[in-house]
Amino acid sequence: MIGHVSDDLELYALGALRSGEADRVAAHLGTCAACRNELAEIATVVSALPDMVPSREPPAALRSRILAAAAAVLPPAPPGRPGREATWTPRRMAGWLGVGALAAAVVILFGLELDSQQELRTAEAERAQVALIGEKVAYGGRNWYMVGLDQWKGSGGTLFAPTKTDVSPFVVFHDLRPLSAGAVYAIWLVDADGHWTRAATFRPDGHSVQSVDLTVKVETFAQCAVTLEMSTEGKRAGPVVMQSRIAPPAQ
Amino acid sequence: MADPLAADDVLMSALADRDLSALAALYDRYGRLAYALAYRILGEGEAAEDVVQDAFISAWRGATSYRRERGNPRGWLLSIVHHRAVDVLRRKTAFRPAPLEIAEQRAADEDTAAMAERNVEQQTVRQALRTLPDAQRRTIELAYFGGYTHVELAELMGVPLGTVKGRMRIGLQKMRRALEGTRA
Repeated sequence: MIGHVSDDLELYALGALRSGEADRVAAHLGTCAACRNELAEIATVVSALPDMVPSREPPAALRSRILAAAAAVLPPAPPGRPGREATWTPRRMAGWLGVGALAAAVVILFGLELDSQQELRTAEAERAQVALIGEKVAYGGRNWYMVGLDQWKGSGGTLFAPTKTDVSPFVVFHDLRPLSAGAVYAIWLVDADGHWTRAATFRPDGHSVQSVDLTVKVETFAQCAVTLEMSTEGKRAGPVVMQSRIAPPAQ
Repeated sequence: MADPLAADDVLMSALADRDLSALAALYDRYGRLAYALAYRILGEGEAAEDVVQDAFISAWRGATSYRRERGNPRGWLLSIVHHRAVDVLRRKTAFRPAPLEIAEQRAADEDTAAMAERNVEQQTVRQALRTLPDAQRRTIELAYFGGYTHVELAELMGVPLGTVKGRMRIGLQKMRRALEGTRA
């Protein structure tokens, strides 16, 4: 065992060591209970430092993005497993059902009792769809959440631009409102000059979560939006249902 | 009143069981604080969002490796946020010796402090930090919120490495005593 690292523990706890030095301390901590205990004392003080930061509200969409990403990278366990806390039942999940795309679907799939074969088949179809979406989300990349407007409040869609170049960008919608006959949703990308490009046209498939691939890369655009249209082609004519800005890639 | 740390332990247990509602509850409890910390370090919302998302996903994936004896869940989560935010900051801004005033302004930006929710915990920590001599307080703030390494701090402040280390050690010891005093 290398020598104790007491002298460096404050630096380590404050994140003030260079990466090689931090690795050396971390390696020692893995084998030395005395230094671990000393660090735990210091960490108690350091972990109070965030309390002096002015409070700041994160964007509302961040929560659903995190839950969706979590469901995609490591699927939740079905309820009822031995050892689970009774506090965290499907009933308790109801509060956030409406906000997470993948997350919501996963909860629905695992959380509800299925009364009939029909429901079971529907659930299996959704499960397969969520698994497919999860695979695409797992590629990683950038994403932006479009918030439903006006009568589409409660609906939303996350535009994913995967890092993997051979995977098309796609939008994962949740809680889409059904449409009357002849109407369609159109996904648009808008450039900095205000020019709208139709990237996809679709109708809701009735599932709680729906993924729609785009035919256009998103990199050069400044905004994305969804409108309600009566035609599968042509210029934008209908009202905006949801939208978001698209941040340019980091320099 | 329910013990929040005990409630955190219940959450961590559920998180280790891959219960997504536990992750939602953990976010509801600490998402705001995590975002505020990341924003304070990075100074911009989009990067702070990415760091918070990254940290919560890391917590989701790593919940089974969490050990209570190494710290409470709050401290564990915030240390992930801090670590990631400082990583991003260092990648984004290769260190250049800057005038001390500029570095301090970034690390101890108070412009939004007036709008902050001045809860008891916040006041307690601020008070504990205020009890420190300026040099110790600045060293701790620049390291934690400014992302400076001890070598950079020594250069920035024009003092030997040992002095930086000593200021941190004594400053944190005094803060600990001050916090224990107010919580007793």
